[in-house]
Amino acid sequence: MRCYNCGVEVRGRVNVCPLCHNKLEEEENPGEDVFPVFPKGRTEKKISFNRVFWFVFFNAVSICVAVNIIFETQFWSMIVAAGLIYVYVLIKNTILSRTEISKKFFFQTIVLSTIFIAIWLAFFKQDGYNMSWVFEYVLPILYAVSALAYGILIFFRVHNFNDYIIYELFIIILGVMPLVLFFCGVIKLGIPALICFFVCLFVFLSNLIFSWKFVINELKRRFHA
Amino acid sequence: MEKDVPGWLKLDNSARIYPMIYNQNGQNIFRVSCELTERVDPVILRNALKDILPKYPSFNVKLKRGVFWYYFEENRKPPIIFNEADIAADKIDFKANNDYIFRASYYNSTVSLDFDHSVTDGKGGFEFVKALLFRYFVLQGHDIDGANLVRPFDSPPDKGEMEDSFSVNYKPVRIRDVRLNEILGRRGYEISGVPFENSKYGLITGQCDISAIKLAAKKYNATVTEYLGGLLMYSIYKTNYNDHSGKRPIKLLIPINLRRLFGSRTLRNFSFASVVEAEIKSKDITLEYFIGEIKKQLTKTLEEANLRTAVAGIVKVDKNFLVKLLPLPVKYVIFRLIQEFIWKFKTNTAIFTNPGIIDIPRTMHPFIRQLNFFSAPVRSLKLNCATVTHNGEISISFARRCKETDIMKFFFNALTKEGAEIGVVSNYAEL
Ligand SMILES: [Zn+2]
Repeated sequence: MRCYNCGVEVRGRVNVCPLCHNKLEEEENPGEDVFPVFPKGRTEKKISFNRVFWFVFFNAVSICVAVNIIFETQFWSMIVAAGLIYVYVLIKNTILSRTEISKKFFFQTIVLSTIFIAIWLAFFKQDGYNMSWVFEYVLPILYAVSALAYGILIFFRVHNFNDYIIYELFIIILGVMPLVLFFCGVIKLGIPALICFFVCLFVFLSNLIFSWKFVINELKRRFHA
Repeated sequence: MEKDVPGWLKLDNSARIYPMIYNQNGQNIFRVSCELTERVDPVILRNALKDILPKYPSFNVKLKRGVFWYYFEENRKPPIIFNEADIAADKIDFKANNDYIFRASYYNSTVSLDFDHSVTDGKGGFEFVKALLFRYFVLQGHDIDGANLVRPFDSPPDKGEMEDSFSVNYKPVRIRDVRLNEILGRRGYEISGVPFENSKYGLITGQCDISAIKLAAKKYNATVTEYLGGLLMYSIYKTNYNDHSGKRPIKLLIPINLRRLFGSRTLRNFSFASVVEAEIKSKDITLEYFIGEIKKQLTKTLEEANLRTAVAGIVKVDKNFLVKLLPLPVKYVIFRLIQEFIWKFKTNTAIFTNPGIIDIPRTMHPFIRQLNFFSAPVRSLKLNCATVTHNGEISISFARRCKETDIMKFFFNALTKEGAEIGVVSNYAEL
């Protein structure tokens, strides 16, 4: 097609001059488009997970808070809120997200320990609650399982295993903490902490013996300046 | 990657900050595309891409986060070929793209590669597309000859193609040689108009015989780059410039390919963005004035000493002890702040890129109709003009953030008056 106004040949199936927007006479054989005409109205909004979640969240939490206040009970509504937020994180960042599994797994470990430490912070000063189980059982088991899982994946060289190394090392450092707390006298029961320590030590040694080169390489990349 | 190639690469010196400025400014993407004479076969294209990726390790990568910098790591996932209709000039979604930082797509007879600027610049992009198409035609069963213009398929990866030429050619300069206000410059005129919704942008490509342009350029005693760059500035001045106080100069970014000067054959970034600043002092400025300004200022930048200083300036920032050792999240925040509060004030009016003639082996010519090149406009740079020449045909693409087409209309009308027979295509984003 020709735009006599601009003196140019117009290619493609839209019979409008791209420069002056005059209507052009259609040709029988317009030829192929070079790029797709920009899709229109791609802005339509779906009801997103976010909206649904926050709707449920605010309703549920405000009902719980109301019940709390009316019956003057313990503030368990905060636990409901924390639980719902965890569900949100679980769905949004672990189930729906397309990030690598190595990261998701690490993220879950960190989020779970944060939540348990938060619960401990909320209750340990109140009478009638013995909250030391958070450090005596939950965290050692969490870190031991996590370190062991990473250790196994690295040992068997699963796909992209070098991505796991940095997270594993971080978990191993965390895994030593419960035993430190035991020796500082913060917790009384030391057996899970000790087990966790040995699991981490075991995983670390297996790294040293079987994957040393990969560990060093990964650290070099991550820390290059 | 081959045995002697490490499984990872540092980002080159000019690219190191790109990943940190993604969201605010839009990705820094440019597109290299090639119209073939036949419809594209996506299956063969995919196989061709799969074949050549291991031979070009600096493209076979994914972006990873280190403690101090981002870096590239070998990508073992298979590449994906998109249908252009499904992505339509969207940002590159790395995850949907199997972590690759460039994206391959096809539409009717066109093969397009979108490169994130952290991987390479225009010249590197064209070299990669050339290698890809060469392999594509071979797989189609054509008997073609690379003729020293395409590295033989069975050759090992070339270290020279992967080098960071900024680091290699770095020679320290004294601090006072690189002046801050020279880097920042003055705030340029910003193109005004009705912006597109979302991340849409308009695209208009005009194609014509290069000889007509050369003839016109000769009249002004200018090169093609000087003439077209000058005409672009003139078109902006004539149709869009509305700063009557004349305080804002029209600033045109012109990337300069550094490979020839430094004897580099790298396929990673190795260009320098020089800025041509044209003061608007009177009401009746002519095209000659703009062409003259470009000529004068480009010649000065192209002096070897000045280019060496420019390279040193780019590297110097990264070599700085403090910059080096700030953890990535801190750097991220700092670069964002710099972008918000300083770069904002060094607005460039437009960019004009001309990687020149792309040497495509003779035997490939019958299968290629035209090469196209453009970069996506970003918030701080609203108009992108990019040209590329193949087989005597020049393609001039405008990518813009505003709906109005006056600048392009003026530009192409001027070329038509010079006797150029122009074919125009558009994505009609403004309709
Ligand atoms: Zn027209």
